[in-house]
Amino acid sequence: MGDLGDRTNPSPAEGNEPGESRRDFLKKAVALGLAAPAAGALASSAGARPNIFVSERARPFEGVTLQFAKAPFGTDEKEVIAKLLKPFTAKTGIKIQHTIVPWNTEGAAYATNYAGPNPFDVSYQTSTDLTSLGTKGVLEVLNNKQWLYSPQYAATAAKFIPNTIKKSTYQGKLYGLPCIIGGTVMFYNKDLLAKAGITKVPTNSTELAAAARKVADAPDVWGFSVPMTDKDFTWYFHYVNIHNRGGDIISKDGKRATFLTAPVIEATQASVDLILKDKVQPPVGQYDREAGVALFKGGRIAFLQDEPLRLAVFRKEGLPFKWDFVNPVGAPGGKRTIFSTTGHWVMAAKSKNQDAAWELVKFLSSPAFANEFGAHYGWAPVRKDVNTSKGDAQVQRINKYVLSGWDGLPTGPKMAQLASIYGQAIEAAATGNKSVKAALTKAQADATRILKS
Amino acid sequence: MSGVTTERPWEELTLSEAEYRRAGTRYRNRRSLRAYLFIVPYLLPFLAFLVVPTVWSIWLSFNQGGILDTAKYVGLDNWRAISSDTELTGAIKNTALYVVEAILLVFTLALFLALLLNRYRKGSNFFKLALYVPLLAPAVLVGLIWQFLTNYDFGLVNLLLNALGLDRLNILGSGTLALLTIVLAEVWRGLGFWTLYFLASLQNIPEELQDAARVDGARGLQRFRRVTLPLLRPMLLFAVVIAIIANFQVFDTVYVLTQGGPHESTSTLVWFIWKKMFQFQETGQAYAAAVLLLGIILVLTAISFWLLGARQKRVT
Repeated sequence: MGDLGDRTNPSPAEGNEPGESRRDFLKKAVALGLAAPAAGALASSAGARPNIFVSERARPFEGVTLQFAKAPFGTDEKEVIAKLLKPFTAKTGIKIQHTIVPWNTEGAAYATNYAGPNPFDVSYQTSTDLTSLGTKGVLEVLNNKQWLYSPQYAATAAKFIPNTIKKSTYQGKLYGLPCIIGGTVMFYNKDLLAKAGITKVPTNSTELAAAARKVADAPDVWGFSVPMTDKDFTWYFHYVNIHNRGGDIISKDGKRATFLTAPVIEATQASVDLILKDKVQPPVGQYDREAGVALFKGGRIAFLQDEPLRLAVFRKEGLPFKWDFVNPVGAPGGKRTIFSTTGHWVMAAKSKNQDAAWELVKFLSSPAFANEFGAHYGWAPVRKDVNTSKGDAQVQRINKYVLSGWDGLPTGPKMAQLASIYGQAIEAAATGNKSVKAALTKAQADATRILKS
Repeated sequence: MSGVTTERPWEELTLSEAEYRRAGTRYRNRRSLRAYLFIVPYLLPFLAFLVVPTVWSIWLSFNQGGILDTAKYVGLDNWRAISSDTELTGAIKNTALYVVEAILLVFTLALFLALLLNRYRKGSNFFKLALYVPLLAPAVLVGLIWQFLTNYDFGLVNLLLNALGLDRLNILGSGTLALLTIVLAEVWRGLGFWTLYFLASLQNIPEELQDAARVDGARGLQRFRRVTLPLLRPMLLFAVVIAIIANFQVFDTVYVLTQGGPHESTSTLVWFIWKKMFQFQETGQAYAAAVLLLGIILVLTAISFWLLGARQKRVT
């Protein structure tokens, strides 16, 4: 190419050679004009790179627009995703139309959308609803040779943490590609603890109650806060207590409700005692989840159990006190796990652009997207080649907690209902309307009826 | 006058009985067809958006699925499932309590305000507008306003209680108070409409009747009981029917304020349907509950007609 370059850029002296007629000069110019592209083409083919038309081939989906929907992790999520998807659109030509689906209306939004002829091609579903939607046939099954186990993707598929795939699979079918593990952590106000003379951060529920009691002696300060109403997905934040005691709300074969087993009763009692017996937590309904977080930010809560996505917010806002976080407390003499549902990228079974949708799902799962996205919201990754910490020590700690202690939700089409029933039982017992035993007896009856229906 | 008649004999003009019948049928059909043509613009949407969905809903209440997946006939399974669901019985109880409280409160207040506005005309336009404004507010905004009013730390109610030296209340954390908050929010929203409705009704009552009662020595309350109320009865019947239908479908305020909590104490029938349908995709059970709601409303409407209609007959 160097020679050719030299030739196509003749020196001024060359063009003004004495004795050369104007006709000769034009002939030479035409010859050069024809020769240059021909030589270029020859040189390129001689290079033997088969992807010579790389720019054309890399945009095989030019003109395709995919409908993408997700309940947001933060108010900035649309911008964050748009920024991260720019290279994807540039490379594939696929345009993305992003719809924000609010968390508390996502059930209605997805049900009506999937019932229609043009559903969201790609969306985000938590493991709570994944199987329910999947078993109704609205989601594409992914664990087959067309998608996840296609020869082109097999190497990448092997990078998923096996348990995340396993925990998302129901009766041999995987309806969504896991993308994040959420989890909850316990933030704490170091200044309040120091004032109360607490030097050791509690590790189990008994220690937590004791520490919270000490802190709550101060006026206008609560020892502990965790969402307590069904409206705020109570069950999600309390499920960890059951796993820590080695139990669950459903039997391993998924056929029987197990609300009246010792681990569930003890776990629920521990949650209720913090409000009714120890009085270290605000009564049910006094503060919702966001108000609880606001109280923590205002220095009125010592221990706050919430999702890791608060980390970015707390750091950005700069809380007026020293704070840190640990994983949620364990059971006295029991385990210390992290409960979380998993997030999944799903494809609509009725999508008219499934190949393009799969390209998007692959990209959303890839380090190119997942590193940044996970880091921004503090989620733990589900693939070995994804690192959401970017060297950040706090995010690394969250990932360590989650990846070492994660215990997910059992899969099943009725799990959303069963989980909600557990949340209502906690709420009923924590308001003092019913004893723990009575609330769980009702939950057991409701769950048994639901599993039979 | 020649006395020659040009008329043909009666027998020749008379059609046979069968011909008369046919002609009569043709005439009636023509008339009916014309009438039907006039109501087609209403009838088509009525069939498409009311009759067909209602029949379809009844059919789906005997099926599993039907929205996201294909419907599968399951007989009475959905009905059995909802009849043993304690949340539904709780929701019916809550809804009934809410309807009674809301209707009694809003009608009493609206009638009282209407009587005042009817009597004192000066500046009444301002008050009419002020009363009507909450109706223009979207339900979400109403919910947020009441959330703000009932907030534990800085809500107006608790600030007032604090100022009076009383303990603050965890309003949305108590089942009774949370349901009462929803009642008050809906009363606040509907008060303007019902006040104007009753005001218009009051203004239709002939002043002469009131004057006659005055002449007969009837005092204010007696005039209200013996003249105003009986004459308002037809309007009251309509109001009760409309209010029952509307209030039995309360949803938006529940959705924004409490989402059925605490502990299902504000869970209403439509909230139950919404949860079954959209949160858990139990479409068959949701349809069964919706059909049940339709039945309840129809029965209550019939009872209202019967009660108020019978009294109306006695009065007239």
